[in-house]
Amino acid sequence: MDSLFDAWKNKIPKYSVRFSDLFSSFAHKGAASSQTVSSLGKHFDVQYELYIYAFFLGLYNKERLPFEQDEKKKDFSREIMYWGSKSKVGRKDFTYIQDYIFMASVSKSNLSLVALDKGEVDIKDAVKELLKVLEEYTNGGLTIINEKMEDELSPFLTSDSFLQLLLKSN
Amino acid sequence: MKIESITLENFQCYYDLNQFVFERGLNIILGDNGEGKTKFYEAIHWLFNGDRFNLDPLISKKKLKENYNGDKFMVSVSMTVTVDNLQQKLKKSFKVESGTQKIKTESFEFIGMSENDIGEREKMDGDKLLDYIFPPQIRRYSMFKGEAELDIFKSGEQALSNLVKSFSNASHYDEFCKYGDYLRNEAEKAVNKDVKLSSKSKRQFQLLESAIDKKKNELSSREEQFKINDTNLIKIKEDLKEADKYFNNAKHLKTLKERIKRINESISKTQSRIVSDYTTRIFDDKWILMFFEKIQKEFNEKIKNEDLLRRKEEKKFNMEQGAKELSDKILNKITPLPLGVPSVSHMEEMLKEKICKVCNRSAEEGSEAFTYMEKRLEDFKQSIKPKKEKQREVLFKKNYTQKLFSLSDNYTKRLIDIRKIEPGLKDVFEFNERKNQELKELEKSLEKEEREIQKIIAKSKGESELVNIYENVKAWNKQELDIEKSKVRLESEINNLKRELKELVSEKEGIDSKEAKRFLIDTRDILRDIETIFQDTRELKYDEFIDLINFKSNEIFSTINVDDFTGKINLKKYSDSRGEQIKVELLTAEGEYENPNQSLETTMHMSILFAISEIASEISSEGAGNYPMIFDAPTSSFGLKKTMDFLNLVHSTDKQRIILTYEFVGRDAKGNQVIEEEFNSVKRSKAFWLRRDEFVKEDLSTINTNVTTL
Amino acid sequence: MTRRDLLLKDFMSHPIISEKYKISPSKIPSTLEDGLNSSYPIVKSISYMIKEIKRSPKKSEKEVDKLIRKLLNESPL
Repeated sequence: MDSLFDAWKNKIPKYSVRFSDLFSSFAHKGAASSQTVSSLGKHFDVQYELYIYAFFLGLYNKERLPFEQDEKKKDFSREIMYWGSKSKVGRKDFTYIQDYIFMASVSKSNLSLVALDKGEVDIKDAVKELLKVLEEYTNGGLTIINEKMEDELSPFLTSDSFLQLLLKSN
Repeated sequence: MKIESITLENFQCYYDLNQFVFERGLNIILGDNGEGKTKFYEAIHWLFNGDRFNLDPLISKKKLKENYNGDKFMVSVSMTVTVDNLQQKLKKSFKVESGTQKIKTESFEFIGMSENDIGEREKMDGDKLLDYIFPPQIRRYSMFKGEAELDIFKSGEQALSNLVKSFSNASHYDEFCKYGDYLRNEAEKAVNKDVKLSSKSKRQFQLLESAIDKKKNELSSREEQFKINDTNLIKIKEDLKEADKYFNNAKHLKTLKERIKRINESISKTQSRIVSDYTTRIFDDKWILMFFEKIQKEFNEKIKNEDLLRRKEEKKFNMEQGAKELSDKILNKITPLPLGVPSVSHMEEMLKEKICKVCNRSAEEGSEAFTYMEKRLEDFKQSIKPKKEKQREVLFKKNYTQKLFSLSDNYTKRLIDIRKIEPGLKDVFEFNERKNQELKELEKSLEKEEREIQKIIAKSKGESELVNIYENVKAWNKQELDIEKSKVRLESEINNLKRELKELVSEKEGIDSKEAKRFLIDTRDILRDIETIFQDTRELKYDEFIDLINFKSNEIFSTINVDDFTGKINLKKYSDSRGEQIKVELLTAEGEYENPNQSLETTMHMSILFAISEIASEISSEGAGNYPMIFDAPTSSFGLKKTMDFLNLVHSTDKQRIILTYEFVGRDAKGNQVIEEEFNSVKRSKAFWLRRDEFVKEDLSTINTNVTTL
Repeated sequence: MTRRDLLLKDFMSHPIISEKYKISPSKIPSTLEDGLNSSYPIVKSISYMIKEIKRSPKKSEKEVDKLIRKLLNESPL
């Protein structure tokens, strides 16, 4: 474990249980099925895709939402380092996304790299801080999605609904 | 003459009273097939031509059902018109008594009510009044059901002689020809008689006379045969044209089907090209990074700052370390000379000689100076030796963040790609928009082609008839050839006979001039000339009339510019066994014969009919002038756009025309009938919409038409 | 111009009148009245035929024939 990145990507970030239904509605559980997902009404082939999407949504909208005290969380047993690997025919590899998430997390964290290399900060705590950033922005993004569900009747009806939501961030 | 209103009472699907009030100009009656359009036309036809027999089928079933208990009710069709501002009314009616067992019809009558110029109404015979307000020869060319009826010059009809009789004074000349013929004949008989009386060349004369008679008979029968051939030829040509149309329909159908297949293929292709997997592309095409530039810059900034800080601290640390070492040395209060001064060799020499050559004092072994020099040499030798670095203290014990610098570098280069995302997305949306537009266009054209197919299917005969027609066509083609051949043969025979006859006649006339009395010959000659004058003048008048129809038809035809056809209608006169007929041809602008498609043919016939109507109103003797025209579905082959153009044209003539059509009636998404938007731009004086009530198929009494004025 | 005048005019415009009978345009009658009094037998005959055919009731073919024959016999040819 000789780099911060390697230490970080072994982790699995969590999300609040109150968003479980978003994952079950919009994402496919487990490995991506061979059927076209949109025909089953699910926009995302795998669950962590929604997670990544929510992270960027929160990030671009500057919505960083810390968890409540004692808020229950869960994850989907897929370490960051596997995110983006080609899931099925017709999809591409997008492991590049790990780098970007990492850069964003570092940028938004209060981590002092100097302190880390000096040994003043423990690597474990550094990773924890980065994950906190990731989880809190994702939390913000999921909240935005959730609000849209509550405001509108059928907000994610069309195949470009999520794209449009993302575009609105600017 | 203007039709003010037509009222149908319990006539077929028109339950109770249904009144249609008409305006001048174009009146349009819209109704889908089976909704009551044709029944309306038939009502008018019955009013004009119907008799007292077989009235049961005309009775409204619904009314019958209601009146099962024996009440009487009336079935009638009436029409109110104005002629020279005076109102005239016609009503044909009968009473119905319906018991549970039988239907009894009675009191059939056809009454006319005529208003005179002092406002009094006078009852009169319906037929008489009808012939007055709408003369039969004009009526005959004012009402048409369907497109086929529009061809009034079809072989077998006596259209030309009817038209000439009705609308031209050319028929007067027929009379003169008859007289001319008679007189000439009498004069010739007189000459013959006279010659016969003189005995000189009697024998020769008689022989000649019988030879001439025989020749004339031969000639006459050949000419008759020739005319019959012509008639047959025309009929066969018409049959072949019909068959051709059918084949054309089949070919057209095939073409349309292919077109539809291609359109469907284009639709699939276009649909497949429309981007729909937006969400997966967010990741696969890196769209998710669309706004990442700012964050990338923040990251770069942070890394830069950290790097700066790192170097600053390192420098500080090193400086502190260096300073410490230095101060250790200074503590010894010696300001040492720099290493290398003096040189090694000097020092070794000094040590050997035990003399400090710097201060020039002796340096015995064990003395302070000697020890200093020894140490000094020792230090120098150490310093040039590659020695093990003293384990120095390090500030940055870990190097977790090395990768971050390369991340920063690499991804900064990739910012260009991120900037391309938003415009790239815009392209995708525009592309999709274009494809969706294309789809819409394709679907519209698909609809159009499918409508065309419906039309063709409606007009075509079944598959099995195709075989029959095929066989017939073969036979007809053979017949055509045979007739052409016999035509040629007959022609030469006729010419020969004519020549021979001419010789015989002149021989005879040679005798005539020698033998017969002078004045008989002269009289005969004058009467021959008179006959010629009558015949030629009559011929001329006929031709003038036909030219008039031709000219007016083309005037109208050029304004109803269907398919941008630039040719002309050509009416050709020919005579067959029944008399003189007209053939209608279509010629291109270059004068070549053109085989028109259905809608062009219909337009041709309509132009001719409108021309005749114009001539009728110009020539009309009674001062009744204009007459209305009624057409039932005259433009079925036209399609929506051409029908619209056609109707607008008819409206512009400002003559009263009643046109029934199924165009413009469509269905909405729920399957209900609606009038299509395009109808709003059709100029007309009035419009009606015929719609049936909801009905039960098995119960005829539920089939009833409602009339709505639009 | 009555209809009968027009009929005469039509017949008179036939080339036989001017070419074979050499009747100049000035000598061609413009009314039926004039035609009936014409010195040209053919013109007179045609005029009488118009008169008799276009009257009500019209004369029969036989009657007209008799009339014209008499006419032509009497006039110098």
